[in-house]
Parts: sequence; structure tokens; C-alpha cells
Amino acid sequence: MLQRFLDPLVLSSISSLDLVAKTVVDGFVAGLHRSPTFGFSQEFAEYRQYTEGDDLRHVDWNVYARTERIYLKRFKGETNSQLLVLLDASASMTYGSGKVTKLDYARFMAASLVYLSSQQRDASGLITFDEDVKTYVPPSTRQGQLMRLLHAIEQAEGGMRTDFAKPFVHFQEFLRRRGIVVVLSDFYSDPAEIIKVIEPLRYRGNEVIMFHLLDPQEIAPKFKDPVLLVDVEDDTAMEVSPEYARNEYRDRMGNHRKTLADKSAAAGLEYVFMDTSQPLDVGLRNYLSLRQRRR
Amino acid sequence: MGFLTPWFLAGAAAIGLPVYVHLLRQYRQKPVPFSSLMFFEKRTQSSIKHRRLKYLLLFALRCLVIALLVLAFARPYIRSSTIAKANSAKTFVFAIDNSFSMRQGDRFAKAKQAALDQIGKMGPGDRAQVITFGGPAKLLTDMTSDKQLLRGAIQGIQSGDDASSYAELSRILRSTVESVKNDIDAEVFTDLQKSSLPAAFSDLHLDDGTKLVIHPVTDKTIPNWTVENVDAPRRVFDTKKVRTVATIAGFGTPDAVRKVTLLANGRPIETKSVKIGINGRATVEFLTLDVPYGLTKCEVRLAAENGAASDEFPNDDHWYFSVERADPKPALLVHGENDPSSPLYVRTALESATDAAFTLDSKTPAQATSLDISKYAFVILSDPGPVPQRLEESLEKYVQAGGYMLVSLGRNATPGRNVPATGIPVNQVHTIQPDTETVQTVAHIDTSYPSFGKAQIWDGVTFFQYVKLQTPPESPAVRIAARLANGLPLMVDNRVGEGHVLIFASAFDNIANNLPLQPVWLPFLEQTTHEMGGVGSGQGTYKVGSYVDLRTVKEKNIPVEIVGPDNKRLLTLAESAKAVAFQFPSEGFFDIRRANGREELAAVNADRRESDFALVTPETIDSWKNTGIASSAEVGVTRQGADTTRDENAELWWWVLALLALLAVAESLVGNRQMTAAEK
Repeated sequence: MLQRFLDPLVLSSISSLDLVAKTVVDGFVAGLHRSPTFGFSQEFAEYRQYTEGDDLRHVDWNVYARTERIYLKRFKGETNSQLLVLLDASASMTYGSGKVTKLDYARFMAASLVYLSSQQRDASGLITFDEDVKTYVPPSTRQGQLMRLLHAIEQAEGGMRTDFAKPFVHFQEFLRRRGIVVVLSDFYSDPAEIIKVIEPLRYRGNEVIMFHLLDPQEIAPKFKDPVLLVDVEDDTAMEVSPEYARNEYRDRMGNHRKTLADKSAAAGLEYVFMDTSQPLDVGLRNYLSLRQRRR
Repeated sequence: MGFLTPWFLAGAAAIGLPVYVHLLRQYRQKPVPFSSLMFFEKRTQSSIKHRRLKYLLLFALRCLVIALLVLAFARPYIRSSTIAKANSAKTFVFAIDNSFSMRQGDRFAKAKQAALDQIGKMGPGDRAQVITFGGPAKLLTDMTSDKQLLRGAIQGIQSGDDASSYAELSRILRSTVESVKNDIDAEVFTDLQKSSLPAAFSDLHLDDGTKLVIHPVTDKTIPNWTVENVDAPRRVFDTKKVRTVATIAGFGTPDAVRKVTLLANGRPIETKSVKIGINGRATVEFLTLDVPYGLTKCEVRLAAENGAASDEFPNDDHWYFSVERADPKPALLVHGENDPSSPLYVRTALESATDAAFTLDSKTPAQATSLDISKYAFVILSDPGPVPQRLEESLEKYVQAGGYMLVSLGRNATPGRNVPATGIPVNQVHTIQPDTETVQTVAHIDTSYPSFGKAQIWDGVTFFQYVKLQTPPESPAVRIAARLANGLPLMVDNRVGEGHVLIFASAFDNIANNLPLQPVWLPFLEQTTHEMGGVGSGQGTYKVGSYVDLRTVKEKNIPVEIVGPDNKRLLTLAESAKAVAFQFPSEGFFDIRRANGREELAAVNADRRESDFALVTPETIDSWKNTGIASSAEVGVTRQGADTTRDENAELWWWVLALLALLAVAESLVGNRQMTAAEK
């Protein structure tokens, strides 16, 4: 049942992104409850007496009704969690051999993560980029933040080519609090360069998760006949034989992924490879396990 | 192999269509967007592999479909000569001339022996047929490989008395080629008489694939005299007044004197010598023919002066003819009381006739009343005026029983009364008024009518008085044989019962017209009386191969009888009851008893064209042979050496279409399968 709800193809039929996120997260969470391997509970930590300047939204009005004392509800995440999603919206992300493109998949992922984060009262933000920063929603726990994020995610469209160097310089300016940084991209660039750009994020105490999204056709292209491929980013065309796609390409793609994984591990970055034909739970599970570690 | 419509082969260019679809069109690829090409490299290998035929089977099927379609339209054929060559069996026709001329010397024996020799040369698979063409061509065997049967057929052939015809031979060869549907070798054994050639060379045309091989039994022309014809009366009434004229002809002969003998029943009556010029003709006249009463077999025979055979071919040195001696038959002439002229003219005319077959009995109507009319051969009423009732009844009865009566009508005719024994009334007796009218002449005569067979010059005959008959209604019983210039009937034949009444609308005197004074009078009356008296009917002399009528339509199931020259009956019982005609097979005398009871002695002679032994020229023979060969070359007959095969175009487009249909189905199946696979 869960599998069905997390299937990207099923999710793509849901027009509203918040509904997608709810479906994914609620289903995923319900599935976790039934699972004995994961202990998961509310992030509630303690009550704290109200002092001036505290946000009234955190007042536990039930306690006030019983005791006539004002207590604030405190959550663990609220104190140390901030989620920033870096969504690659370059042209290459618009590729998809099926109904779901990589960008769609990344949007589902991003929406699910911010929804989950907002459920836990964590501040969450979003940056979409291609060769430059396209959208920036600062992390916040304010009311309506989720809607802002979802709207921004919804608006993310395929843009120009990917250039990690330029936008990531800006990211560092935006990241003032440490937290979790999720990078959703297909990482079509030199692994060393990517790691070199992303690595500084880790220096500030951020936990960085690199979600490497690839279409099945990108992982293992299957051409019966020779095809003329056109790069969606720069419109260069190339004639590709099925034999090449079957053998050499796969080797090179495998090397790329391995290098990326090795280098990210060496840099203390979390690297998660995701096949866009697979359900979304892999991504969520990785995110939550990272949260667990941080606690 | 060839094509009937080869220009359709240009459609083979359409094979370029599948080539384009499979090779060229496939090569132009549709660009496929891809996320990044950073892991791809351009390789020459891929370009080369583009050119590979993707759907090799489908491509092959499509090419074949188009090729077969083009092939079917081009209508391919193969020549069946290939098959004929494979078994190389030949078809022979052995044509043997057994005509009258082949009786000369040992010609016929030579021809048969040559044919037997040719049978011995036949190969194991060869087939042959034996025919004769001495007269109408006869197939003696079917097409067979049985040499024994063929030899038996040849040995059984008898020489005949008929005339050969190379046109007839060509006709039978054409029909043989048509029926066996193969080339034939026509082996012809003949004496190559020029007289056997048809008048038109086109009649000798042979069909394609007919190889004509002529085996002449002689190569020289021999001089030959023959009795070409004899002109003798059919019946003899007065032996002193008979004139027999024999024509003697020489073919390739020098000047010579020959003895010609007239024989009756084998007994010589008179012999005369006659001198015949180079290749000439001469006539011999015999003025008496003393024969006994009844039918007599007569013959004119030709011999050398010393009594020996006149030449090397004695078979044609005679001419058979038959005569019948009888007493003159009585005929009755009834004339008016005061008419002395018509008996005179009629009697004179009858007695002047060559055979004087009738004796005339002239009576007035009153005298004739008491006569037994039935004993007369015919009756002539020459403007008798009113006929007594009793006589009229007698005449009517006579005609009804089959008698003939000639009625001439003149001034004594009574308007309003019927012509005796007929229902045709007399309207008016018209006399020409010289001041206002011109005399009438004969404007139209029916030359097929017996009375006008020989005498057709009626120009000088003028009519001053004639009887206007009421125009008789058109019916088979009434025949108008002659008309006057004003269109009125002059002579009407009215069949009454079994007999006939001939009405002449003017009198036989020199007052109403000048007919009795004109030359046409004698032959007119002679022919008319001969027809009426039954003298003129029947022909005494026939040619071999000609037919004689044995019965009329009315004479069904009445037996007839024919006795041949060898005194054998020639008809079976069934034939004697049903045979309508009989063909004379040979020379000689044939006794014929007809269905009407009359006896006849038919003298049959060979066709005298056979007496001319002049040979066909080699050029003509070559031209004849070439008619078959030249035509067959036009349609592509293959000839190698002596071998001749007949080509027939066996068309193959049916097979091509059938194969095309199968390939189309296969193409659909394969195409569908590959399309489904591609979609998956």
C-alpha cells in the first residue's frame, strides 16, 4: 500500500504539491509506525516557562487552562534543526524517459522533505538554481512558510545549464545557522569540482546530503537502434550507437557515480543515489536517519 | 522465356521505394533529447552500423512483392518447345495419293512402298497418321505409334478413280496441326500432277509448323490421249436420228491418228479414225446408235491405229454413257374447231426436236371428250374455247393424278371463266390497238424454269393479243415463269394436285403473236414438252465422286437400290430405306432403282483432269513448302536441322500472381510482428 503511494508515477497524477507531500510523508510515517526497526516519536522535549519575547504560537494553551501558568512547548528540532533544500532546476533535470522527469522527482522529494520538516517545526528553506540562484526562500518556521516553500518548489522550471560554482558561493552567504542541507541534482559535472564547491558547506557544521537523481535511461540507456542524441542544455547533437550506450557509457556513468560517492564520503558529505523510477522512501529514509544521528 | 508486355518491366524501378524506406529513410534519424552527452563519444562505428538493414526480411519481402508485381504485368511466358524438345517425339502424317492417275504404271505401288519405308524410319516415340487424298481426304488411322497398324492401313489402300486435290490435302494438314497442337511432318506420296493444284495458290497454305516432304513417284511427264467427253442423247426414240459426238484430247502428245470406236453393250457399232494435233483435241461424230429397247451401256473407246493401247495410260481411253431406247410417247393437242395453225406449229416443232420423243394427237374439244386422256404423256389445250364439262372433268382428274397440261389462251377464251383444271379466272382478252398502243414483248423470264433453260432470246417475239388473267394469289402452288412488258403474267405454272397446269396467256398461232415463227419457238416447246413428258429429267453421265439424289422428301422409307459395276448391291438394307444421296466411288455403270420406281443406268467416268500428267514445277513445290515454314518463323518456331518443333507460349502470370499473394501475406505478417516489437 505504501509502495503504491510513494510511486513517482502515482504522485505525478496528483496536481497539488502539498497533497503530494502529505501523501508521501503521512504514508511513509504510518509505514514507519508499523516498522519495528525504526523508533520514532514526537520531537517534544520539555516545557519552558514563558518569558517575554517568546513566540505566543508555542504556548501550550491546554496547560494554561489547567494551571493558569503560561508554558511554552519546546521541541528538540526547533532548537537545532534547519533544513535547506538546494534544488537543481537546470535543463538537464527536465529529462525523463517516462512520465516523471528528474525535476518532478526532485520536486516531490523537496516537497516531502519540507513538509516533514514543517511537521516537526523545523525551519526549512529552499534555493533553486541552475547556473545561478533562481529562487531563494530563507529557512523559517513562520506560519505560511510551508506554503511559500511549496509554491517555490512548484514554480521551479528547467532553466539553463548547471554551474555549481556560482550559486554555491551565494549559498554560503545564506547559511547563517547550521542545519541540514539537501542538494537535489543530477550532478552532471566533474565530481571533483562538485565536491570542491559543496564541501565548504560542511565546514560550517552543516550536514550535507547529496541526492543524486538519475533517470533509468541515464543509468542504463537502452537503444535498439543508433540514435541521434541532443543535449538539452547546449543543443549539441551526437550520434550514438546502441553498443556504445550498452557498454562504454554505462562504465563511464558507473565511474562517475563511484567517484562522486567516494569523494563525497571523503569530504564528509552524505551521498545518496536515487533512481527516479524508484519510490521516494529511500530519500526520506536517508534524511530521517541523518536526523537521528544528529540527535 | 520471354515477356508479352516487356515495357512493364520499367516498373522495376519501384523497388527503389523499399530501398528508400529501409535504407535511406531509416538513416535520417529523429533527434532524441538527452540530459547530458558528457559521457558519450562520437564513434565512426555507429555511423556505419546505421546503414545496416534493420528489417532485412521485411525489406526482402517488399522488394520481392514489387518485383513480382512488375513481372506479372510484363506477362512472362515460356515456350512449350522446351517440353517438346525434351521428348523430341515427332508427329508424321503419311498422305498417299490414290487418285485415278496413280493407276498409271506402278505409281501407286511405288507410293505405298515409299510410305512403308518411311514408317520404318519412325523413332520410338514418334506418332503418325495415314490419310489418302485421291478425292475427298480420308483419315485411315488415328494418330498412333503402332507401326503395324500404320503399315496395315497403307497396305489396305486401293487406287481410286477420283481426282486428287492438293488444296484438299493442305486443308486436312491444317486441321491436323490444329488438332494435334504440335508440329507435323507431312510425308506426301504423289505423282505431282499439275492439274491437282487449285486455281488459287492461297488454298495451298499450310499452318505454322507444318514441314512438307514430298515423295514424288515419278519425275517425267508421259503423253496421254483420252476420251474427254461424249455428247449423246439420254433417250433414243429413233435410232437413225441419234447423233453422238466424242471429244478426244491429247495431253503432252504429238500429232497422231487414233481409232475411236462406239460400242453398245460391249458390241462395236462403228469405228472411226481421227487425227489429233499436238496437245490438241478432235471430235468424232457417230450418226447412228442402234441399240435395243431399254437401257443400254454404251462406250466410246480409244485405241491406236493398230488396235493396241493408245498410250501408257489406257485407263482413260474410254468414256461410258448410257442411253434408253423407247417408243415416242403420245401427246394430246386439243385445239379450236377453226384453228388449223396451232396444230401445225406444235406438231412441226415436236417432230423437229432431236429426239422426237412424242407423237402428237390433235383433236377438237368435242373429239377429245371421248378419249382416255390418262394414256397421254401430256395435254396441250391450244385456245380450245369453251371446253365440254366432261372433258374438263377428265382433264382435272388427269392433272390431279400427276399429269401435265399446257393451256394457251387466245381469242376463244371466255372472260369470267376459270382456266380448265385451275382456279385462275380469265379477266379479259385484250387485243392491241395499233393506233393507241404498242405491241407487248416479253420483259421478264425465269431462267430457272425448265421451259426457258436454253431459249432465252425472246427479243423478237411480239404479242398483239393476250389474255389478262386475274392476278393469282401468291402461294407455293403458283409460279409466274414469264411476264409481259406491262407486267402481266405471260406464263404461269399452277400446281394442281400432283400435276401441273402451265398457262400461256396468248395463243400458239401467228395471229395473236409471232412466237411460232421465231427461233425461240422450237427450244421453248421442246423443253416444255420434255418437262411435261418426263423426258428431260435425269442425268445419264456422272463423274467419280459426284452425288446422285435417290429420293425426294416425300419418298421416305421407300427402298432404293443401287447395283455397282461388279453387280453387287452397294447399299445395306438400312441405307436403301434411308439414303438420300449416293456418291459414285468408281468408274463404271450403276443401276439405280429410285424410290419413285424409275430405273436409271448411271454411267460414271473418272475426272479427265487426271489424264493430264504434266508435273508441278519445283518452284511451285518450294513455295508450297514455304507456306508452313515461313509463317512459323514469324512466331518463333525453332528449327534445328530436320527437327521442327511448334512453339506455344505458356503464360506464367498466374503463377507469379499466386506467389505474389503468398508474399503479400508474409509481408503483412512480418511487418505486423516487427511493428509490434518496435512499439514494445
